[in-house]
Amino acid sequence: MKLHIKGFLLTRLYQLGGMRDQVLIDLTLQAYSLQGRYAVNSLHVALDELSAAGLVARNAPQLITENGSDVLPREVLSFYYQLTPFGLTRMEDTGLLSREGGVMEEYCA
Amino acid sequence: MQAPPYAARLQSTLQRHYARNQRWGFMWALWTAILWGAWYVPGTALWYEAPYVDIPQDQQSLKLAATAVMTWVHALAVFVFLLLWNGVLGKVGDYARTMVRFRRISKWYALASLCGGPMAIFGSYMAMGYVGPVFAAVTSLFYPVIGAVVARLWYREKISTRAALGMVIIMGGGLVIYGPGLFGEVGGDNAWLGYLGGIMSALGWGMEGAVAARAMDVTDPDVGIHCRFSFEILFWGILILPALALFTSLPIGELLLTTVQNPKAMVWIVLASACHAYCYTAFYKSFSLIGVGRGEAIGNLYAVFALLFIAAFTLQMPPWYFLVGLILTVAGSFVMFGESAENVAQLRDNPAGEHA
Repeated sequence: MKLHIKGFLLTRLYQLGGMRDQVLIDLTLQAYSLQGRYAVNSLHVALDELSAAGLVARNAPQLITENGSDVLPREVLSFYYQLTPFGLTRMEDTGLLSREGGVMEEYCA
Repeated sequence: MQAPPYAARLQSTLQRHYARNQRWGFMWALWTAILWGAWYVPGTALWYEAPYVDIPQDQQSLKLAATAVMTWVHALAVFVFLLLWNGVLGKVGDYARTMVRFRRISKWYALASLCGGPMAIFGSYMAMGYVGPVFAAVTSLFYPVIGAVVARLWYREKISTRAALGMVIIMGGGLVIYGPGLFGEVGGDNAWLGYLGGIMSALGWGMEGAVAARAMDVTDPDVGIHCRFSFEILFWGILILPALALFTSLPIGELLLTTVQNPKAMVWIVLASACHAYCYTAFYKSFSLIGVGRGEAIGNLYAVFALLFIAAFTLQMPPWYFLVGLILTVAGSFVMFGESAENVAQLRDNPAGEHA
């Protein structure tokens, strides 16, 4: 069975060291066969929750122009997300990361 | 007109982003209080229907058994409402993915359901039965303190002076609303059981938030509340009710059958469950945006909404001191909401920090 979505976001950030939200969200949409504005917004909310809880850090804020098929071009906020030491500890606590540093790859999409 | 420079636009967009998250967090917490207050109407009405209305006041064990049956049927209905919610949001798959990871993740929801279900609800009914309903309401008001302290000690949740002050003012408002009724209640036979129940309810509900937030760190709050109620159903349905039926002479089966066969009782249970399901959903969603301490403190406004809903349905006006309590609780909420959005955007003391 695939990892739950927040688990997937955390393991991807661990494996790739950090990522811009657009790239991370595209990866997740692809992995879970999701699409549409609602899915994108839900993933943004999930990232906000992970940041508020201190598991990931929102770095290098930027304004980027978004060109969606369903919306007019607009300027949106984008962050570079990275795991914090607390995030790594919480991943170990919850079995998303082994003490040796391996993620639960067999569960990943 | 020329657009403002990039740095200014970025700064204002960042501020709006943090403010929006803070507003959503407080909005969810306020919905918790509204729906929790609304829950008291069908929750109380249920006691006036068979089989509950037929239980004599002095038969405490039968009353507690009835409470257990009522809570289980209620939890089953809450589960159905949450299934509907997560079905519409497209999160049923994530619910299954979270539930199966019991050993490291969903066990925390199981523990949260023990704290909020058998411990807090049972404790609250003990407080009501052995001391009185006002005492039960007053002791429950203290649960945010427990939640904030546990969250602080366990995972360093930040409680600013402003948030703590708001929390104290809201609790003070609750005390003004319920406190005067307390004088006629304290004392009586086996009162210590009621006091124990009061402590259990404050500890149970306070700890529930902190325990659930540990699992919610890595899972979705909508899914989390669904997991929590799944475990509550299992605790009551597989452990507690069968144990009561097997090892005591209490008529558990009869109570269950009479409840589900009485359409009026079921209507109240369904209405109460709808309020409770979405009240708890809002409760858990607020934790992930504004933290356990703030979410629980704003949730304490249920004291105001409960009286307002009861007044609306029974046309009995609350006493004059209700207005003082109302002013205090609203003032406390504004004190908390006045905290800077940037401060609320980072709920934990994080040594790594952010470079926003």
